Amino acid sequence: MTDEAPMLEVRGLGKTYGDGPQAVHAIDEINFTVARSEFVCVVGPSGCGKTTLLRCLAGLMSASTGQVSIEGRRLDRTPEEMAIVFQDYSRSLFPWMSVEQNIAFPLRRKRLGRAKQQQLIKDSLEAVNLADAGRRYPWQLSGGMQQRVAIARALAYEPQVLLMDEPFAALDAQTRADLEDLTLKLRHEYGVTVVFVTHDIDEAVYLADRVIALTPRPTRVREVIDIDLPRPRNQLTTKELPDFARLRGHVYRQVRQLDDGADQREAATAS
Amino acid sequence: MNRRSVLLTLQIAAPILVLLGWALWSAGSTNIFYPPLTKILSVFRDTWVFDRVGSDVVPSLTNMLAGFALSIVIGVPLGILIGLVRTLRTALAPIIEFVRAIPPPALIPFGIVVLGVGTGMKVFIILMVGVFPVLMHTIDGVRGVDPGLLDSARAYRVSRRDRMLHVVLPAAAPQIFAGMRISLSLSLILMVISEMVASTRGIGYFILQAQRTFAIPEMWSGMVLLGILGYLFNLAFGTIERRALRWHHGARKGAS
Repeated sequence: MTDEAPMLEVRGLGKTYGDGPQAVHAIDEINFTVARSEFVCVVGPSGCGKTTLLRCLAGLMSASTGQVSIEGRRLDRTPEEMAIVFQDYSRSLFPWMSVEQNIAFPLRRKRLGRAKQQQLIKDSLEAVNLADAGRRYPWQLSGGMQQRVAIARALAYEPQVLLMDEPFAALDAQTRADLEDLTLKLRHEYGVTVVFVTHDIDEAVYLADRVIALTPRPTRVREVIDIDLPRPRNQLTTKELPDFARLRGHVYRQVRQLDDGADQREAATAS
Repeated sequence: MNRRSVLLTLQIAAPILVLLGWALWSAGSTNIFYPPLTKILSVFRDTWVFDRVGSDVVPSLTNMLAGFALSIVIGVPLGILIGLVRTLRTALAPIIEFVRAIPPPALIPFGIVVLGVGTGMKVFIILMVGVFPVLMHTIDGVRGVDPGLLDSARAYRVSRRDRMLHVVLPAAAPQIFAGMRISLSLSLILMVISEMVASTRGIGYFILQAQRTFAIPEMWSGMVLLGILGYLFNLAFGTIERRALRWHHGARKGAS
């Protein structure tokens, strides 16, 4: 029995935009914890405030109620231990900086010394299989490569928690599968805690240790589902497992707010 | 010939044809106001290569470049500040619009009263006009910075100073350059205007003086010189801009 605080704890988090009659109640109340080195996916129906939640977690937006703590410390702005990979790589990498400069830019504040910094850049680029791309510019790379640069930037930052906001939503299916596997490999190698927001249920079940399913607005946690699929996972064999289909179906019903019998009844009325 | 070389030939040939046409039309002209082109060119050579360079061209260009440089040094930081701070923008917008609305030559009497008839007044006039395009474009550029880029910098705890210098400034650079280009043309215009009032040297003074003494070919040669200078300034500016904004043109090409 240990008293160690969880890596990330979200307690009573709520968010209301505006006030008075025009106020939008985006997040009602969200509670969950993420353990060290855990991979948690957050899924929810479209427009359920996933991005709002992530921005609150990242400290880019202040919550109306509740709090987010990292290792027991309450945070107000983005903590040093947290790195973020945004959905839109074309708006998160700086087009006037080369790939290396993009990765180096967040490291300036850390004053690491040149050798250490070069090493981090080199290692992170190798980790995402872009060892030769350092001197190129983001706009000279494909979408998938750009997102790998964004991941390399996050890794070089040496975070304890990696927040990913629908990072592969803009990519084609094959690139997406490759990057999912890359993310799993990196999580394993770096031992980083990952909070991965997505609207894709297959992706969430494939990647996660636990899936947090959210309700529509005002958002609450509907259910937390343990994903006990074996690791390492594989795009073919994992997705062929009966358990994968069962979990996927379960999460799907939770997110779409169907009870387990609803689709059979639907099928019956249709015939 | 492919399309590219046809266009290039056209670009070179058209000005030559215009010059030839001018030379033919004006050849043997006895009209005092339209001297032959050959006459203008020979006067041009005698005057500007390099007789009056030290006495007129250098002082003119010094004023112009000083006014232009000050427009940038004042316009860009002020524009960034106003662009970022909403209350400042609200407070200053009417003042800026008012000062900007005053026709520039109307500032000359004020300049003479306050700064005299020397270099200071001329640089002041150029600055008072040149600073606005830089200022307005910088404000627009700063306001238009993609919030995604700012989030990215904030999420990685980039210091305020680095955010200004390495995110806001480069992101606004395409707009800032557009403003600087307008300011450059205006600086040349205001350089000439400022020399036509209470002045004893400069290209503008020379042209006015030539007209008043009926030295019409000299007057024409001054106009030709201004045309050439304006062209060269634009060429130089374009080269610098292309280098500085290589990423911008590359990114735009990549997007389309």
